[in-house]
Order: sequence, then C-alpha cells, then structure tokens
Amino acid sequence: MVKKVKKILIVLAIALIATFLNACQTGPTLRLLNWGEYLNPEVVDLFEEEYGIRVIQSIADSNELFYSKIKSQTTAYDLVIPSDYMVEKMVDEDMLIELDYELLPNFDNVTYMDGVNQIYASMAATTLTRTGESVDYTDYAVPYFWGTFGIIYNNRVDGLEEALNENGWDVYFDSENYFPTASRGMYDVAQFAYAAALMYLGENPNDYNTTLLNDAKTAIEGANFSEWGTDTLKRNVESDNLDMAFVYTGDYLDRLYIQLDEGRTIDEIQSDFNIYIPETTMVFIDNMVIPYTATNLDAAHKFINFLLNPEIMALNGESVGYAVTTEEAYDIVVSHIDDEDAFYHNWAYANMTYYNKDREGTFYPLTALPNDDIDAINTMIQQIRTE
Amino acid sequence: MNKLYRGLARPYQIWLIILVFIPLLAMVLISISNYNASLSLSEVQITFADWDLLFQHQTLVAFKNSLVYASLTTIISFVLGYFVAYQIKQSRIKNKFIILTIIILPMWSNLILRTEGLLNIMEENNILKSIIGFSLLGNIAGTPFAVLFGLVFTYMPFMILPIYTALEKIDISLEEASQDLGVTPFKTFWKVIFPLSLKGVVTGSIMVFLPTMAGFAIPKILSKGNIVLIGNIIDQKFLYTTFNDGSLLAVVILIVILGSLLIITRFDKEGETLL
Repeated sequence: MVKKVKKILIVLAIALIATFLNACQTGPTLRLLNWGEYLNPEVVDLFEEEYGIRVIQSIADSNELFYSKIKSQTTAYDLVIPSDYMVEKMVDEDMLIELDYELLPNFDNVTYMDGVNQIYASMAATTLTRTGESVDYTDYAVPYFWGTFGIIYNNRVDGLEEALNENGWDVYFDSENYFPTASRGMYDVAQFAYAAALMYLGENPNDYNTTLLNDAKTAIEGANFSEWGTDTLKRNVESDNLDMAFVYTGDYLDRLYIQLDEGRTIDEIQSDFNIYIPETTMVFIDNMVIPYTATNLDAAHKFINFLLNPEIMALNGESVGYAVTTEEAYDIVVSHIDDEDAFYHNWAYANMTYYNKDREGTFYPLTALPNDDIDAINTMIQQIRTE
Repeated sequence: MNKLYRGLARPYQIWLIILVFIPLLAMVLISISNYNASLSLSEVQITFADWDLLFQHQTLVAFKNSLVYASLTTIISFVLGYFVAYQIKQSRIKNKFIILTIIILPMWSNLILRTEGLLNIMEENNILKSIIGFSLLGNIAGTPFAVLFGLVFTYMPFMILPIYTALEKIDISLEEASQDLGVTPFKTFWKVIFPLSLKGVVTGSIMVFLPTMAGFAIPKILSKGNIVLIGNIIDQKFLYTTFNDGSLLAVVILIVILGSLLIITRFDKEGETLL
C-alpha cells in the first residue's frame, strides 16, 4: 500500500516538474489577451517559427473583461484585441501605449478598407463631442477584423427581398405600410434597437437626447417586434419561424457556412434566407492595441506587423467569419473564387457578396454612451415591452 | 464527539456569513444609495432619489406580471399536482420511490436546456414537425400561454413531492374510521384527508410561488422577450451596472419572500413538511 502511494507521488512529482520546465522554456514571450477562437493556430505557428517568440494566449469573452483584466494588472499583457468603444474608453483613461510605426514596416504596403477608415473617423468624431479632445485612433490601434450589421430576412416571403433592396430600413420599421403580417425580431440589446431606429430616421445612432429617444420609441413601436432574442434570431429566420431581424452579418455567415457544410448550394440557401445590408448601418471593429502593462513592446509590434502582412491576415481570416481589414488581404481572399476546393470558393464568394470592399455606405460603430443615457434607453425599451 | 460535529458545521456557517449575510446587507445598503459602476466609492452617498423607479410604469407592470404568473402557476400546479400525489399514495405499487423518481426525472437535465427545447417545439416549424409531420403544441412560442406552460411544467414536481409526503403521513386508520362511521369516500376525502394534507399544500405552494416570483430565465426564453417580469428588470439593471436600482427591486422581492416564509411558519410550526 505504502509502496503504491510512493509510486503515485513520484509520478505526480515528475509531472509537476515537467509542467514547470515547460513553463520556464527560455526565450521571449508575447502575452496576448484575445477572444475565444479568434486567431488561426497556423498563424501562431508561423509567427513563433519566424521570430522565435512564444505566444501565450489568454481568453476573455467581453470587452468589459478585457478592461478589468488590464486594470487589475494581475497579468502583464503585451497585446489586447478590444472593440471600438472599448478602445475609446481605454484611450480616454490613458491605458494604451502609442504605436511606433517605425516598427511596423508592413503598414506602408497596405490600405485599410473604406469601412475601417470610416469607423476610425466616427470614433474620433464621437470622442470630440464627448471630451473636446481630438484623437487619431490609428495612433493606438491597428484593425484586426471588422463586420457590419444587416437585416437577415426570410426569402420564402414573396416580394420581401425586392422591397428591402428598394426601401431598406422602411420595410423593417414601418410594419403598417410594408408586410404587416411579417414577423420582426430585434437583438435583446436596448442600444442596438435605439441605434437601428435612429438610422431608420436618418439620424446619427450615437447621438442622444430626449427628442431622439421619443422618436426612436415611436419607430420601435411601429416595427411591432415579436421577438427580442440573440442567437435565436438567425436560427428562427433560417427555420421559417421569423421573417426579419437586425443582426451581425457574421450571424448570417455562420448559418450560411453550416448549411454549406451540410451540402446545400449557395443558391438554395439564399432562396431560403439571406441578409440585406442597408447603406447606412452599424459596424464593429476589433483592434490590436498595446496596454500600458506591456513588458515586451518589441514582440507586440512584431506581431502587429506580422498580421498586417496581407497573406497572414487572409490566412487568419480562414478560421474567423468576419471581414479582413486591408484591401490587399481582401484581394487575396476573393482571389480564391475559382478555387476547386468548395471551402475556399464559398469563402471568397461570401466575402465578395457580404463584405465587398467597393460597397458604398455610411458605417457607424456604436460609442459607449454615458450610463444615465443607457439607463434611459433600457427603460424606454422596457416600457415598450410592458405596454 | 459532539465538539467534532460542531466543528464540522463551522465551514458552512462561515460560508453563509461571507456569501449570504454580508452580500444581503450590502444589497440593502446599496438599495438606499446612488451606487453604480461609473461612480468611485468615495462618491457614493445615501439617497432615495432613485426610488421613483418603484412607481414607474414598467416596474409596476413587471410586478403585476410576476404576481399573476406566480399565482397562476401555483394554482394550476396545485390542482393538477394534488391528484398526482393522491394517486401515488393510493397506488398499490410497492416501490413508490420509482414513481417519485420518474416525477423528478426532468430535473436531471439542465433547466435552460429543457426550456430551450420546449421553445423549439412551440415554434411553428420545429424538430417534431420535421420528424412526424405536424407540430404537437402548435405555434404558441412567445405567448403568455407558452410561459405558463413552461412554468407549470418546470415547477410541478415541487408541488407534488411535499403533498405526497403529507398524504403519506396520514394514518390509514383515520380513513378507515371515517368509513366505518358511514361517511362516503368523497366526504372522507374532503373532511379527513384534505385538511390533514394542507401543510403539504402550503409548503408546495411556497416552493412553487417563490422561484416563479423571482425567476426570469423561463419567461424570457418562452415569451421571446415579450413578457417582462420583475426578475428580468433586475437582471438588466445588474447587467448594465445600475446596482442601486437592481438592489432596490431585489429587496422588494425579498420582502415578499419573507412574507411568504411567515405564512409557512404559521402553518407548519415544526417545519416537518419541508422534508
């Protein structure tokens, strides 16, 4: 018995030592704080091979967690990938280090997509109104992925597609005049509903005052939403239980790729359900930024520079359903359109159709409104739902 | 040995103090302050400024909804559950444990999973329709009926079990005596059995009423966000870090719960039917 225990202890000790040795592997490291399943492992392998820097990835599932993990300083992250409004907040609170573009030679060879430039301009504009300071967000951030929002719709409803293409937001919000029997769904996030209503009314979705709030309320009441959901929205449109919903374009692509995997063709899927992306719509962007806790600035810059390489960015896009941020990477993605491999063909097609770089439009990233405004918007939505 | 036993109770007592009593106290304090995530601790002060929340339209409607759904769920569970419990008591099967196990069987799977599954078969086009060709429940997702259905389906076992325990404790000779004295079986049930099982009914009612009153997940999923209960508002207030508003509403619910517990102690002094 005692012998057995001894044996087990020895094995455990060896395992423990092995773990420590592994962790103490010499050489520089890059501590990356990222979203889950948001970085192609092949990219990591290539990076580690080329620079001999080990990437240690931590995962968080909300921008607020990114924020608190940096603030608490328990781990010194070298690179973080937060979204638009969180970058605004982090710059506001001096939590980010300015990028050294001398260390990013690949930057000179790429052009950001038009939507990406618009997002940074919009972020600068909202910051100016809020704080009176002009900030150039490219000083701190390099775009990682971005994506639009759109109206996912049930194409089994006759004439809905044509109506959306012709009248856009009106079809979704004006349920009295367009498709009164169609069912409409909205994300269960009050600010999304408010922003969508303002875009329908031709206003800037980041503005807030009581007049706008009342107008938005009237608009949302007019849409007569029958479902306030999240992931259920895309699945219900797909299964013919809902006719329209305002969702991430990535939500649609997610279902599209799954159905393609099941062997259906793009035409078949599109004739069941599709997404319409309005000319004026909401967008999000995730950015590579260096927090003030960073200890390995060199590795962080090397990683950013590595991802700015169009080949690498396109490779990274293979495992993530969002849009690449540079025109050069986009060109590589869509060059697969004639690929015999169905995956690459579909991927190129989806990017060309839904994330086209030549798409003209106005793109608004949502800003972080003050708490009191958010509370008022939440209350407005609750009022609609308890009427 | 006695000392050792007392020692073993210590961990849970400490757990209670740290994770229940102190947070409870904090909740009460926060409910009379202006505390939210955008304030630093030094800016927090005692104020009743946000108490008008209690009388806002959406809060009142949500409270009304919570009360109505909790009451209806309790009544329906009682009417349907009582006779299930009575049948189990009357049944001649030796191993009643098996029947009770079957009743709590649904609780072995995750609540959210069960509710999402229920929602799916309440949709117009659902998994049943693609397998057997027609939809069993019709297109009721998002309606008040769907919410009520889900609540009763989930909480009915909490009604059946205490009633069964109370029924099982009734001495069979009381029933026999009643019949010996010439009382009809129907009258025996109403005059003898039912009054003696009342403790179980009260316990069961409380165990159904409380979670439905404070809960938010089932109504949120099955109403597709169209029916707002007080739990949904609390959920949202905390999600958006308006801690004082959320605490205030939670305290109000707490008072309702305390009131219910007072009722239970009136009916059930030894707390025996809780087991």
